[in-house]
Amino acid sequence: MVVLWASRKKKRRRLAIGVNTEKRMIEKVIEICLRNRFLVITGAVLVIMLGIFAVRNTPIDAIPDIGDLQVIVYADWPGRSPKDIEDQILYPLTTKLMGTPGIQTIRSTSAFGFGLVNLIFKEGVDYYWARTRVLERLNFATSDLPSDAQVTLGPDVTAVGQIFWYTVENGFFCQNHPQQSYPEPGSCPTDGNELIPSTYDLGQLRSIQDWYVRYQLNAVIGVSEVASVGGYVKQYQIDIDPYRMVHYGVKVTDVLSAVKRSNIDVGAKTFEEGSIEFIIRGVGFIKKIEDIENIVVAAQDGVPVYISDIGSVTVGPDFRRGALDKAGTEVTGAVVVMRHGENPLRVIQGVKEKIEELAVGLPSGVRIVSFYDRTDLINRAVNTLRDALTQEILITIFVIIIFLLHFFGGMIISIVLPIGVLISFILMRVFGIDANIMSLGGIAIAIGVMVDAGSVLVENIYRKIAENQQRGNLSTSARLEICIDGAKQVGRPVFFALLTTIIGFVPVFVLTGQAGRLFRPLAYTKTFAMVGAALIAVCLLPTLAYYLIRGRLRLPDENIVSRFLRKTYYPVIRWSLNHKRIVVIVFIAFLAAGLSTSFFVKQEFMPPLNEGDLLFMPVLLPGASLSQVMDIMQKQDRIIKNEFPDEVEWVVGKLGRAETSTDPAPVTMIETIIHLKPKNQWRRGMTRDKLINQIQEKTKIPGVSPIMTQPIRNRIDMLATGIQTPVGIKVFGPDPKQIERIATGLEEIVVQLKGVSSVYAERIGSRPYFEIEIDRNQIARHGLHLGTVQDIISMAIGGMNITQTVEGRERYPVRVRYMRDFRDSPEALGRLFIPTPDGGQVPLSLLVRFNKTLGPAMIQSENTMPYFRVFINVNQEVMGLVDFVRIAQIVVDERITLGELQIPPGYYITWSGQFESEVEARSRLAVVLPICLAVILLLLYFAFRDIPSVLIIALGLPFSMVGGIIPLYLLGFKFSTAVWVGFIALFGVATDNAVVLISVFRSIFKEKKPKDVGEVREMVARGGLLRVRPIMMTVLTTVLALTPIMFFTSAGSEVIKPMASPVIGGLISATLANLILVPLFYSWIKEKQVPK
Amino acid sequence: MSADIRISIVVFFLLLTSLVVFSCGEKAAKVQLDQELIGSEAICPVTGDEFTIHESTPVVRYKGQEYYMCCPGCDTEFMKDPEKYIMLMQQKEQSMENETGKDSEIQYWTCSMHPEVKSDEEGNCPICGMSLIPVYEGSESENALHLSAQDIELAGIETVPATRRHVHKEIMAVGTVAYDPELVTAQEEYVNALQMSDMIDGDGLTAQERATQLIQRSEYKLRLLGMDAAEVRHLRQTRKPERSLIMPEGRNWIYADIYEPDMGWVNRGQDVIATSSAYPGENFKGRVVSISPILDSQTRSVKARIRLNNMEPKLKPGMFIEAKIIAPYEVRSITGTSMVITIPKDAVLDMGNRQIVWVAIGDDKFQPRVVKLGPEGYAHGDETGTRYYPVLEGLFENEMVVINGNFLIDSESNLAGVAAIGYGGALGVQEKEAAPVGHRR
Repeated sequence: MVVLWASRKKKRRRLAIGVNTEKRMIEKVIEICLRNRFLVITGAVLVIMLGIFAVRNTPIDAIPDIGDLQVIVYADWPGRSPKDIEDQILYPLTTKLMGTPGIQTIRSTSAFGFGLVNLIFKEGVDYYWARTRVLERLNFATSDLPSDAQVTLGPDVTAVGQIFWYTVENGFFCQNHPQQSYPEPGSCPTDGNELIPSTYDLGQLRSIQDWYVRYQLNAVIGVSEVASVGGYVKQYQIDIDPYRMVHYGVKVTDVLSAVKRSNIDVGAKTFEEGSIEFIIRGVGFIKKIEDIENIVVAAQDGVPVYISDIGSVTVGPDFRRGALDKAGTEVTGAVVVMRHGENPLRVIQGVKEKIEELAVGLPSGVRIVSFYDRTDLINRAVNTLRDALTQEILITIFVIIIFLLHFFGGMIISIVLPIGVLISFILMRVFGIDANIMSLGGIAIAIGVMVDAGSVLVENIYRKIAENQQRGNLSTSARLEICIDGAKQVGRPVFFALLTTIIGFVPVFVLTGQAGRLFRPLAYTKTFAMVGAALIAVCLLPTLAYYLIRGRLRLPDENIVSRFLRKTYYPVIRWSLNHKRIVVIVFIAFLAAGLSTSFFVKQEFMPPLNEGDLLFMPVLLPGASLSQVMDIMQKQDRIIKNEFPDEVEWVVGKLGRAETSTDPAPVTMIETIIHLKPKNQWRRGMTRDKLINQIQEKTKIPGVSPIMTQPIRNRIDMLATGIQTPVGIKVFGPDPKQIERIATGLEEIVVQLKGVSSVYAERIGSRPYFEIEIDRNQIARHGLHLGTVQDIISMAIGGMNITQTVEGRERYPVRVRYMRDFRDSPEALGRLFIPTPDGGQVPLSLLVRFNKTLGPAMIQSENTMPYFRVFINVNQEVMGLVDFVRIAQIVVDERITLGELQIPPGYYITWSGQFESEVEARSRLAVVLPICLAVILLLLYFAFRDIPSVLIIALGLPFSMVGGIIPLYLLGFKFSTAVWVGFIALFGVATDNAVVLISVFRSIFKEKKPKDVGEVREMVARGGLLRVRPIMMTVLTTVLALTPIMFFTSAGSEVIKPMASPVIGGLISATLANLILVPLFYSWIKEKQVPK
Repeated sequence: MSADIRISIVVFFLLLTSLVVFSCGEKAAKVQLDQELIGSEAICPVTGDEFTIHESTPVVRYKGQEYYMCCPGCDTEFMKDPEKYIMLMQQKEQSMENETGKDSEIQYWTCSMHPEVKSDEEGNCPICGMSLIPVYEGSESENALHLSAQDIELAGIETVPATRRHVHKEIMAVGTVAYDPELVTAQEEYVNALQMSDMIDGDGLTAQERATQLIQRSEYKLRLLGMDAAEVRHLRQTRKPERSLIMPEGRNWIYADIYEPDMGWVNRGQDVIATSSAYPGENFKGRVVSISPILDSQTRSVKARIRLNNMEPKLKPGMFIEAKIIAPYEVRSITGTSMVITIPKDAVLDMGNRQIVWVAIGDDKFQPRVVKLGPEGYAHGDETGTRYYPVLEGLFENEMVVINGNFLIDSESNLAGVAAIGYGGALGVQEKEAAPVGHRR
């Protein structure tokens, strides 16, 4: 491509005028740069410095955040059922949040005690702008909600924000040096005394976490929140005895208001005494149990009734919805959640430094131990990419020097790479793109192509200087003019090569959804790298060439490498030109063979990234109690720790949720992080897959679904509330029971279809509920209000945190509840006393009906309509997703029409899932990819004004495609979006060499009209010989640069490899096709034109 | 083997008799025993025992079928609620079939480690290479769930036999130490009336009548104040008013409020354990002496008068007392005892519409049973505080019920393997793990 434009210098006038002005502009830039060399070099140094600054400050993470842009609204209403949360909070809330500007979908989840509204914004909306819009709406949206429900905007974090988990746990310490804590028993290094274990209970550890550690870590820059999990929150518990209350004639409400009114400090301004001002305070905060016991609830005949008369006060644990376990022992801990767009490495660094500082103030023996730390993964991924980049750069430089055989010339070209990378980092910073394996991968696949422009330019200058040198010595001004001229000649081609590469990558920019979020950074960085390389080539290289290309120069075409290449190429091309049929048949056979292998390559959405740590996620059916889940978690953790001592470093399990809105896990879900030891310590023959299988086998417990995933992946999935399987059906409707019936009906239909590997309809409609249904007639008979009864139900049975103690920095809730014996069984509940207006007390069982029933464990809705999901995994080797969905839809519709699956009014189903994004990606690519190819070919047509030439050039595309498929098949990769991106990158460069050849042929044939077939062949072969060196150079820089990546095994390589392999294979086959087929066809055409 | 012969005999004859008497009505009725059946085996629907039919075996015909009872008495029991016993008998038959299900048809072959593997032929598991085990027709429909030894250990499954126990409820009631001058006065009036009547013994008729009327009136008053007939009779004999109702001497009395839902449970003579906040930790034993006939409309309760056995009357009148009334669960049974089959509360999975108990039927197999339960209570002699349910239907004595890990077994039977897909695990799962393990294709 580049050379074409150089050689077609004279034809330029024929092109449109608009292009001409650009040409002038580029040439002007080149001239200005060369005439202001000092400024250029200063500018370059400045760019380098800026680049280094950018490299240091760009946020680095392992993988890009591919989750939706979503703002979470969190509603907390302790102790309430999912039904109540849905009806009283989420439904009214979501109806009012509908219509927020920029919103795509609103999804909500009502669970036990809390609800989440996920507002998913359109792509491209600014995150903080979106949050402000939501906040605006929340102002009035919360006005109708129950007053004791708290609705808050979730923290400004994304799914990948959970970067650091730690435990606060007991350790060992020396009595004489209590500041230092040790993980293991032993002796003190200072005085040799035996270490003693610290013995803080889970409540005390949680208090340390909540009041000492939490807010300090929260203050670290970039930390959005620190969410505690596990242990027990200390709580003052007033357990009241309903019988004694009957005796004393005390009502529950009396107790509540009495306690509330007994916990306050007040201020009363000041008074003066002897010109001193005293501040007056009324002191009355609850500080100890006795303070509560002595609260007077009522007076009976002048005798005060104290809390201690009607109940007991103890310090106990608050109601828990989460727990943490380390290898079978309960611990307490927390997760550090990073703010949106921060640099995780730096934040973790800050957190760790803060933990060091805090360690001094921890009670003796207590330690803060991290059990999940993103740093390691990030470093490994970034190291992989850094290694890849360094190796690529070195190999490229080596190839260039070999081909040019001029050290300084080679160095000048090579300088494009580091500065180009730095420029792309600057641009990444400007465009707000993080460094991660995808964006760095973009640079990695660009490296080989980046030097092309520079090498063309430098080579041209080199040749000119060399030619002129042969004529005699050069004066300084002549040298400058030669450089300007040499650079100008290729300035335009450089620009156009850049244009085609960028156009070639346009399809990646138009990808949407997860694929878009994943690969757009890559497309950006690749473009940045190309732009950077072009900038350097145009501005800096001529200047450097001016200074550095000196001494005795040999024409590059005469060095050993080019002579060797010509010697090999000439016989080959001559033979091919003489045996066209055989060659064409061989190539067609190759094409067919390659295409047929494509049927054996499987498909997947995205090659999974190996995160290092494992996340073991056993899930129980809704309704399992916390203690049951806890028991399972501890057993499994112990097994994992003890059975795999060589592989597992530590194992920490979490059940339920940490106190953050980014963690919606129910109690029945365990998330166990398994940190593995370095692979060289593993038992012989153990692989990651084997280990996963063995862990699952060893920890198999009936009724528990063991799922093994990875921490980041899981967070993204947990917060993506849509359907994560390739295909899914959403059943919408008002009543969860009906929805579940329809969903299971669908399950039965779909499971019979061809290509289904598994189907699962959500069964979240079957959590046990105990309903207390108030009989309106009965309460009317006693003159009671329904609300009075409900208040007592919620306060006395559920208990209520009515106030908080203020103890220094610490705050603990005070709750009132009936004594356990009076509320832990249906019968006991029946004996709750309800005070009647006429002073009597009526047992609850007279006023209500008790029902044990099944209700939803969780209610999910989308745009205010509840829905259940049916997950379908499709075996894509049997049937493609899109086809499957088409057939399945027909079948389901048929069953509905036949009435076999009844769908009542108000209900409907929609099909959704990954296939949507696949369909969309495909349809977009189907339009954009041909358009891009067409645009490239159109540009070529404008260059040549000759359709046969363009067609011959286009020949490279099918061959590059086949060449790309074969390595996929051989290496066992699957077709994924990553692979497609590799192909797109390939198409951008696959035609370049053909262009080079055609242009040289055209100029040769222009100079001389061949007389016979033999001469045509000779001329074509000669043309090929002229260009075989530059072609081999550009190809080898790209192919050899990418080769080391194929041997990488470290983190991140699993994503880059499938992307690189089509480029390598495709470029090799395209080059072969170009070097042999293009001359062949060109000669064919010319031979026909020869007069017989 | 013998069991199915037995069953087939029973079924055969049931069919035969139903043919003969197909026009029989809905009501269960006693019929004559067919002499040919003597010596064959049958299952008694009431006790669930197997027995040999002999000459005096009672036979009941119900809905055209004949049922054989092991012993006289069972027939009357059966006729009270035939449906219930037929259901029980069918369950029993099924569980017996289960033990000897070898002859039933093999449905498919599966791997004990990978239940998603289903094969029509015998062979080895494609995943682990273990030889496949057969799954018999019917065993799946009965829902018997097979667990491996590892499963049982990890799930912490524990079983206990469903044994017969005396069950009682503990009814909590609040009360005060009695200060009831009204009753004492009434008692004294009554005693006076009796004495008067004694004194005018043999005298004029009108005086006698008047005395009797007086006695009757004061007796009525006593009844109104909560003394029952027996107590009044006792008072007539002793002629000693209970002064301890005002001034504790030798014993304490308590008035406890019994609320409507508990009234059916509280009876005269039941044991009471009373506690007072004045003497924490001290239990005062006593007995329900009488229950007032009138319900206090304001508190919706009746007063139970309880006499404590303490010799040293520590409690002062007017003090608050919490009384625990031990109300035995009375059940009428054929054997005449009030022992009932009980299971610990932990064994029951109560889903509201039905109560399920998982029964270990041997060979690491577990079977769900829908049971009908009586009220929850405590067992006599059981100091652990375990609560028990009397089983009215659905379980035989000494069957092993699961008391720990039953939720897990139930979940496993509901669906295995894929519940977590709902939480987004689907992507992380490899394909074979995502296969719906428990689902029927």
